[in-house]
Amino acid sequence: MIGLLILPAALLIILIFGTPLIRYIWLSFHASSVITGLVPIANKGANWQRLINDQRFWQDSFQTFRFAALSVSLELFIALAIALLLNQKWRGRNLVRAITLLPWALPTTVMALGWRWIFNTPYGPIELIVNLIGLDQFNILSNPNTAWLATVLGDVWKTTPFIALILLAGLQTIPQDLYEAFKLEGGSNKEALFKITIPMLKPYILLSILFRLAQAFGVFDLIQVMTGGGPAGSTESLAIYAYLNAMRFLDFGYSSTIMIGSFILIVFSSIFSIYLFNKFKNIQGYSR
Amino acid sequence: MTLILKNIGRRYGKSWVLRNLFLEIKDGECLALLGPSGCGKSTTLRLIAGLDIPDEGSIYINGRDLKNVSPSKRNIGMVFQSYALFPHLSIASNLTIGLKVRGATESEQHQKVSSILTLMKLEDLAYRKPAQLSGGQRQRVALARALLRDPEVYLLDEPMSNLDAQLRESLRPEIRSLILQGQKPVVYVTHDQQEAMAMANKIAVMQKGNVEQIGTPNELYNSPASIFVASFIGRPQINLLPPESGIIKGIRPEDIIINENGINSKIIYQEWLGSSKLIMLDTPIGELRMITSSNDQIPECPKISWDIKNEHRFELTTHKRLN
Amino acid sequence: MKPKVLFVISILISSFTFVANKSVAKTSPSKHINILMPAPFADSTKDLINKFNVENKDNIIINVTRGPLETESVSDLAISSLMLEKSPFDILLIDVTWLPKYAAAGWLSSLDKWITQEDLNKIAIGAQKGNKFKNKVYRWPFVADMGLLYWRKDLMEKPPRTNNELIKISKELIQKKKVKYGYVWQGRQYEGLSCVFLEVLYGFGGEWLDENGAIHLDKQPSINAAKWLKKLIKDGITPKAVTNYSEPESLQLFESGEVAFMRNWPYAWSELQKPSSVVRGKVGVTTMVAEIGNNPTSTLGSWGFSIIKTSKNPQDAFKVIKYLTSIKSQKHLFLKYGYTPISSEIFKDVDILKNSPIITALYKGLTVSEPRPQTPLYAQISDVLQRHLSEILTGDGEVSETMNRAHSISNQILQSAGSNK
Repeated sequence: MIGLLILPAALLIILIFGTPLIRYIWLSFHASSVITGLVPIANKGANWQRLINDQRFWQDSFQTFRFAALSVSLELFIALAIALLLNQKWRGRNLVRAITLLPWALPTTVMALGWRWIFNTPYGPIELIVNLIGLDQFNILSNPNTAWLATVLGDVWKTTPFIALILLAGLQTIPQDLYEAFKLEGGSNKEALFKITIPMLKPYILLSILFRLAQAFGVFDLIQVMTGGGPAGSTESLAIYAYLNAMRFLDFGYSSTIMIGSFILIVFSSIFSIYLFNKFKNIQGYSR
Repeated sequence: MTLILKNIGRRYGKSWVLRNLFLEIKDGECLALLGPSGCGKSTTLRLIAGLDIPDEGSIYINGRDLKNVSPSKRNIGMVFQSYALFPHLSIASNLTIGLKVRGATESEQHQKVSSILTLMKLEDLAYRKPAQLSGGQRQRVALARALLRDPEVYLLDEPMSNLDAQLRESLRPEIRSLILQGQKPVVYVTHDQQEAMAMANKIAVMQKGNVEQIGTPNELYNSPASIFVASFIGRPQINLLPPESGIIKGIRPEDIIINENGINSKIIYQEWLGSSKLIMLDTPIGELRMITSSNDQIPECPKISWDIKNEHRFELTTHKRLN
Repeated sequence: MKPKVLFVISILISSFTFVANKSVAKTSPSKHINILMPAPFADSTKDLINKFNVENKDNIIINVTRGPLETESVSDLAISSLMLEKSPFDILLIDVTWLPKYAAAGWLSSLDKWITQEDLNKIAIGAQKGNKFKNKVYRWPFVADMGLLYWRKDLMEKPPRTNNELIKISKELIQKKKVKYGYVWQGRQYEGLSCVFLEVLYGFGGEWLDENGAIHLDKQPSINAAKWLKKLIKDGITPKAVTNYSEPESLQLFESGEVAFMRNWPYAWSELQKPSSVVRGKVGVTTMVAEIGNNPTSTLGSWGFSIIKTSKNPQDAFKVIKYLTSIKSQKHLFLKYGYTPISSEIFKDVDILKNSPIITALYKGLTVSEPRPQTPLYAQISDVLQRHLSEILTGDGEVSETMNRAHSISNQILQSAGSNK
């Protein structure tokens, strides 16, 4: 009976999420590009063979992974600190809460342009400061070794407030009693953080990790605007590569292959990161 | 060993929630703080625990001034109204965590936790999470945690308010014996006068941040110091007569008797309470409550009176006791 | 990728409803011709289109969809609409590099039946290029665009004509502390870098993709061109940060007066004449530099109109194109917005010559401009080139090795496409 009731919703979800996925999988086994006049022609897994031998795909995977790993960990760390601060009672807290949300509310392209300007050499504020101190120019966006760090910074700046908000919501579900009881048991504030706060925030942290990993793996506009994937392709993400293949090269077959390929990678790495988090938790925890 | 509160005051902004509070609780003594919500009883408890800081006065345990002593150093066992069990930890871990942060060795932890689990009959629940326990079981865990601390003072904040009435009554003697067994001062906060009388050997009745009266349950019942105490203690409530030359008289329902020479009255309704019954009477001096044995046959319009000895007299303006 | 596509589709849907509403609202028998243009063009052609709509209101009504600002975003929007099979547009204003791709995809109508050789001959030589695919005309030019060398008249008597002269003058000026840098261009990993490289490559007598479809990136001129760009950065003639510069950053630096030369498009001229510009009145414009014995060459970057195959009124659509590219319209757009004309006639117009100090330079530039390789796979090979050039400019690797890699990857792309045919 209940199964029958949720059937329409389930069908809708399958239709909305399943259809494109199936379409992409199907396309990934076809050549469909300007060369074929955009007509899909089955090519027996040639796309997949190409993907596996495509250095650029693996390089972009590596770049996407390190981008996601570093941004998500930094974001969690900073967001937890912000959430803890905002969970305290102090004057002007509400104002600060609202202000911290601003980066999240800003459109990514706008803020990416902002970061591009901030890192601009020689007119951006960072270079101006560096100049004042008397150091050499940074050229952070012009160096393949550092440009990706700048994009991480942009991402952290933008999405930390969002995670902070999730964690803050989580913090507010922890009854004050628990901290008081823990204090009376002889625990310090620091111990409370590791033995109560973080374990109790676990579902919220997991949610943030999952959500943010998926988002960070699909990073597109931030990088497109800040570096365009350069210099030397060092900041190119999988999403940009897939986009290039579809919209610039009109190679829809291979673009679908990249998308499905990265989708598989995302699923595996999400599972892996949750496994890692649980492992870390168990070292800390008392749960049995 | 004694817990002493000397001239304690606490205010939020300009309004005092607690003022001029003096309390002394000796070893093996259980003091109940009784009063309606907002009377300052929970604040008092939090001040003792160090979870809140008084604006005035000092608190001593065995002569040690607790000023600037953090809650974690006060050596206090507290049972919270919500029980405050750590939901992410098993029952055993809930009990161990305190020992761990206080630096007990592993064998010590193990030995103490298993003995308290046995004492509290919680062995079978050791590896369950709090959410899998019933209210009564959770309450036992909370109590076990306080006992395990081997504290200098026990604080219990409405420990039974989340339990149903039947369970509450059946748990009273058990809890009472457990906490008094430690021979430590116990402070027990409740808004239930019956519970206070059952659990405590001394009761402080509080109202609006002041202690109205401290005494044994007997003293509070038989010679309430104010109209507030008289009405708060004893069910059904005391009858208050209309003021007469600056005096308000109070007569407890069980002190009203049938007397041919008494005043006229008429029964409005009756309530059976089991062995006794409550009768509501309409009289020339207002409505009066009366308690009699359920077996007594009371006429429709009884004449009633009371022994003058049983009159409680209060001053009209101050509401203080006169006799 | 997916959110982007969704976004584009939602824009499309809204533009659909927009178009639909309009046609429902008007019940007159007039035909509607819908054009998609990048935002700046949509804005600057507003006067012309209003005039047309008033004059032809019983016959043809032009609706302009104002596309995004950025060139490639316009392409995204156009492609998304074309993928729907029933495109809401009759005419697209397209960039020179999109043409082979769109034509190969079968999205465009040939314009041959409306165009005579005589019509073509009236167009300036540079603007004639980049309109054909497989010998059929698919695009009629609207605005010409080409790479120009901007130089500081106050710092030198005449501009350099060779690569070495540019370096020599730059070094002297830097030494004399007249400027901080010698030459600024577009070094970010994007299409602009391909444009810059192509000019230098021609200057070294090289070629990227020849008429027979062979890649020449491993040849000496290609390697020399890449080395030359790298040397500019290494010698401090070009700022290191150029590797993330596109047009606005280059312009900003040149405008501040700290650089002797800039490579940019014609639009920069009017920007440099604004009051905020430090170098206002001190700038000259000329063609690019080249090695001795080679001709200076500019990269052609022009916009033109194409008719979409699914258009129901191609005849009327061509009328609209004719109107928007008429001599009168070209003059109006040049005088008001500085859009480089495409008809030879205008470059000799006395009025225009009097009014514009750079018209001669523009004509010269247009005459020597060359389009980028005209293959449907251009976007792929340009992307490969950009990545490898970016690697050369920002890294320490051997230039010839990197160019060889770019060469073989480009070859693979072209060959695998050939085998798929």
